[in-house]
Amino acid sequence: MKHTYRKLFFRTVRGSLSRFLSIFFIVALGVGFLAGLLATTPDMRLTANTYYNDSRLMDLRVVSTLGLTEEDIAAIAATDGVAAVMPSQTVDAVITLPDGATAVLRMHTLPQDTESDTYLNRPVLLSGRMPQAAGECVAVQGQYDKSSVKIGDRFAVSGDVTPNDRLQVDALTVVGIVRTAYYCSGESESTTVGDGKISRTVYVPTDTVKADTYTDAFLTLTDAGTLDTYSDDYKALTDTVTDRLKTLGEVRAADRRASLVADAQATWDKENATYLSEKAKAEKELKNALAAIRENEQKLADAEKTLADKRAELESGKKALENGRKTLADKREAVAAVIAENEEKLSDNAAQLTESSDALAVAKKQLDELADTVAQTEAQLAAARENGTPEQVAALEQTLSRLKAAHAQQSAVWQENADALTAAAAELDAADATLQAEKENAEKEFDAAEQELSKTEETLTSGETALIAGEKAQKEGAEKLKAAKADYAAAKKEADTALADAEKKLADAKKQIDEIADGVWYVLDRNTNVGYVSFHSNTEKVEAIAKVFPVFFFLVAALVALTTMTRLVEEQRAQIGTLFALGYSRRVIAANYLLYAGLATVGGSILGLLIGFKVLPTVIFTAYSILYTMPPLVTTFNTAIALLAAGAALVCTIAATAAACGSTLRTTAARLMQPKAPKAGKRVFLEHVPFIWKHLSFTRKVTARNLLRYKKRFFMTVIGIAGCTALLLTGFGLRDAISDIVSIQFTDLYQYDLTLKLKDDTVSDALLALMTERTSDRLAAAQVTGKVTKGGDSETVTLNVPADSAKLADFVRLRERKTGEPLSLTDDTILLTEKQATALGVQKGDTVTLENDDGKTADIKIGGVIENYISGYVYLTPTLFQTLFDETPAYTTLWAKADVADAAVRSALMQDVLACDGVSSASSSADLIDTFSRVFHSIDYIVIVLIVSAALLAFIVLYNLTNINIGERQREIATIKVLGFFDREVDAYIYRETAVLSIIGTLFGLIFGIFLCRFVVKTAEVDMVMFGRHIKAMSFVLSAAITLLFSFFVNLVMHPRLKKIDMVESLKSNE
Amino acid sequence: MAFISVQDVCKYYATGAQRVVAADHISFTAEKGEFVVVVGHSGAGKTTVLNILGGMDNCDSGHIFVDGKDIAAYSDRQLTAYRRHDVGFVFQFYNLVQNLTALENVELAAEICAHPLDAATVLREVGLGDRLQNFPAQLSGGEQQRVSIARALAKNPKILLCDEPTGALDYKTGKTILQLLQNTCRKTGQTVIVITHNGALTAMADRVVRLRSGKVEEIIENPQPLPVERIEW
Repeated sequence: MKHTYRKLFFRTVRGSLSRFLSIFFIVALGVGFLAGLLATTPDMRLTANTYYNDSRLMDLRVVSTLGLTEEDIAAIAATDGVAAVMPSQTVDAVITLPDGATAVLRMHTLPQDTESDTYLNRPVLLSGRMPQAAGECVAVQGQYDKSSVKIGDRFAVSGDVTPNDRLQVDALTVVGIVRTAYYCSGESESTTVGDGKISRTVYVPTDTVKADTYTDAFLTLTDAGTLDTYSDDYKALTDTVTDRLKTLGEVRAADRRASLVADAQATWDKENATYLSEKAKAEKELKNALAAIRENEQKLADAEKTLADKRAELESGKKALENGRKTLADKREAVAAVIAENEEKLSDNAAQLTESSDALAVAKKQLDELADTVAQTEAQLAAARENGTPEQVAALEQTLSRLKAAHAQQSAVWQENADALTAAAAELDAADATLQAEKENAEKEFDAAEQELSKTEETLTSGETALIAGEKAQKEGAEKLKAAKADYAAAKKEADTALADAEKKLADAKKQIDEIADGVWYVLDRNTNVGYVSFHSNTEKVEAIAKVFPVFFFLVAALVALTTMTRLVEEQRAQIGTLFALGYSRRVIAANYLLYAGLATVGGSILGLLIGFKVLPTVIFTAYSILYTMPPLVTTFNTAIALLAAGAALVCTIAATAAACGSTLRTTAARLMQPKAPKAGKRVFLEHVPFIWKHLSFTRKVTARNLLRYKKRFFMTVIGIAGCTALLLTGFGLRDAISDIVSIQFTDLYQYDLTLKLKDDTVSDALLALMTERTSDRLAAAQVTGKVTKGGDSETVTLNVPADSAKLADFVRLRERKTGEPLSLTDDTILLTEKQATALGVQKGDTVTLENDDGKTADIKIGGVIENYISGYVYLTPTLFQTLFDETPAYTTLWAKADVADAAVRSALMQDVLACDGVSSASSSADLIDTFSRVFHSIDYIVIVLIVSAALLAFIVLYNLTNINIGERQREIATIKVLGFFDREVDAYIYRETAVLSIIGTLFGLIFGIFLCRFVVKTAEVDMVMFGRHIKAMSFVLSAAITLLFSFFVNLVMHPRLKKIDMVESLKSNE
Repeated sequence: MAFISVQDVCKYYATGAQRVVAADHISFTAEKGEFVVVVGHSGAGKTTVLNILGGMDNCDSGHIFVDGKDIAAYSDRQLTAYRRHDVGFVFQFYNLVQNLTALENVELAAEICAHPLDAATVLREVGLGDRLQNFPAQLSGGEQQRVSIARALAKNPKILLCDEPTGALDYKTGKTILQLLQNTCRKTGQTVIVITHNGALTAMADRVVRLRSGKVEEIIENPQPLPVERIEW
């Protein structure tokens, strides 16, 4: 290109900078958007890959139903393709939080050697330190509430219930906060303990848990790190090793089962032996006891007889005694009579004797008186001999001698009497003595007899006492025997029960041994990791959306380039003519404009790439970072995408430019140098509707005609604006689609509040009682994974078989989505959920093949397609199920209604339910709503991105339109200004077109948006989820309002330019 | 006071360091119903007079009284209102809105002013009774200029300001247009100011203002203007 010509080119650019910038920016927007969106998924995946590799995320996880032994681990490590194995313990424990609430804590053990290559799923320490001793732990950062776990939190491991008894510690203290690739999503995992939800996850030192087997083996594969984890190669690699491990698992698990069975059998045998010996012992003891009872019984009977004999003997003895007594008494009486007679005689003799005695006594007295007189006379003699006359003495001697004689005589008589008396008395005494002796003898005799009798009595009495004692003893003995018998009976019963129990236990144990399932190894790849999968599916969603949106920008970019270049070429008509005339070739001239567009495109592409590659992935990743704890995004400059995007933009603009130049460049130089005849006015169809046309003011008529006169601009603007509105509507619609389904699914369609999964189809009494008390209604159902097939396509569904079909309507609302018409189950058709029906292209009345989990198939007619958003279901009656599969449905699902709006009530109920036997899991609709809502919350960010890009699109298009309008119609504007239009009217004159175009664009956009939204919603749909198809009225209103607001904003921005137009322009000639 | 009175109007344009005097104390008057021709060569100040008199530009000093009001003192908005209600413009290049029919172009102007005349009537008066529904592109230059004149007249303005009305037309057509303007002036008593470089037109004017280098060179009152047919150039 010649120097001056080049100068001309740059002047052209400078002179039409705003046009150049229009192309530049729309290209920047389009390319930025396309490249950014396209790069987002690779960037997110790269970030994930890097994170996974850096933290050595496991490629596979092996869990065995029977636990893993050291030998298992060694065998896994030895498997071809396995690079490293980390055995680990996973325990879900019920804990008490610092605030007193209970929750479920999942803990994984860390290996002792953290330097080793076998240290996998490495947590990344965010704060604090790693745990060093049992009782310490590091907690995985909370995903939604990042402050929910703090360093220093202490979790009491409550009680010694399973599985807490597997722990060596009674409390865990958080010493650090980590993030880990293994738990990169905030979706809460489920468990079978506590309230069924893992509330926190921690990593603990290995000695925190006691166990002889490992629960998990995490492993990495050779060369897996070099592959993109989301690639087919990676999948092929993991699949290969998975197969190997499964094969290994069959062997190992069989061995493991055998060893477990052997161990259990040994224990059982031991127990059985103990049981048998215990049983023998007990039986022997009982037998002995029974023998003793029998013996005692005999003894007692013998004693009874002896006692009776004795009693008879006693009675006869008593009778003899009585007789003896009587005889004795008689004798005594007889003897007493004789003695009494003798005594009387004796007493008579005694009386005589006494009389004699008395007479003797009198005689004595007289004798004594005589003696006294003698004595007195002797005394008087003595006194007289001394002092008295001898006459006196002689007188007295005479008297004395007389007296002495008398006395002697009398004394002799008395002596004689006294002797007689004494003899009589002696005789009497002798008689008396004889009598006494006789009496005494008799008495003695009697006493002896009496004594004898007494002795006999005594003997009798003691005999009786003994007898009574004997009888009492007998009675007691009988009672004792009775008691002994009762005891025996009880003991026997007890023993029987105990034995029966023991027997049953043994039988159970035996059964358990028999039931020790063939151990199964589950080899789980990353696709079973909730965070990994959800991150992957989200990146796929971005990818799907990335394929649609940029289309607008490119279409609009092409139209902008077309209109702009057309205008530019028209403006430079004379210049082109002149250049022609000067001998420049068409090619060179065309090159000028192609270069113009190309330069704007390349420049815009570069800007767009620089911004797009950085901003879009970052914004989208940030949106998702609400759901994931991930390291910061790694953004890259993806050359392939850059070339693709820029190339596409270049093709669009160059083609548009070529089209714009085409007609002009084909014209001859001479004609080009003449001013182009203004484009003729044309009547528009509206004029044929006089009713409307007549009511339009002239400025409006101008508007109407102008709109249809410049078709390129019309299309550019309408498409641009429609794109803007459609983007907005898509954004809002996407939010509607998602925000609605959760509430529709869980509150509208599912009328129940709780879902319990039972281990088998029996409801334990405890559970039934609990459910009856705490829930208002229940319905059992069988849920079987199955398939619906039509033609070559098949969809995985869950077959729902309600135990009571009539009650189903109370629990699950079955209805047609569009009409809301309720549907019910019949015994010869099934109801299929909408997403699956659509995917298979079937509808009511079609026949599909239904397959159950055993692979049995049957053809059945669809009785209706029902509204459903999450998962796919087929509803059928038990009768139909029976008919189709010749199998009785197992009702292992229990739906229940309960007032569990309050989270605490809900958690308590869940906990209690899970504590019941036979419940394997429980979930509440409210918790599910919560989870889903959080997941879908990230859509808001996408909506923001859409709004911003829609705004940019609208702005660029409207700016360009207004720019061209003003540029092209400067003369007209100047003229109407001269004609006396006020600023406002001038604005309106121009803007009315913008406004009308905006409104038309908006209307098209609303219609187009419905389809776009539907497409995006469908593309963004996760497997097994049908997003809502209903866009809320408010979203239409908002989309339209925001578009028009953008339009208004552009008008505001353009106002100064209109104002600047000089009226003098009107005086100039056409060129 | 005269119906139009331009008094000591000065206008300067600053182009870089230079100050160009576009109007140097220009003064003239015109009576109601007069046909005034402002004539001068390129750069004599014609356009400045047109701009200022037409309310499209302000003067730097001086007064312009139109029907007793000093438009020199007007704000932008007042000037717009002045253009709207009091001035009828006839452009050299007609400046018709391509997208409106002849009738609509007239109505476009009539629609916004206070006391418009009936558009169709005016068009009939300018001899376009049978072209009402034609678009500008379907009309000849003379016809377009007639539409332009009709558009100006329909506003029932105080001044009909014509900028080189024959500039883009051939001789014959130019003459018919001038005839139309003269007739309008004579028949309706409309004040017409024609701005032109064509000295031949001075003969048909009631008053001629001759400009040279931004100054009024002479003002000639012509008590016996010639009919247009007799003018030659």
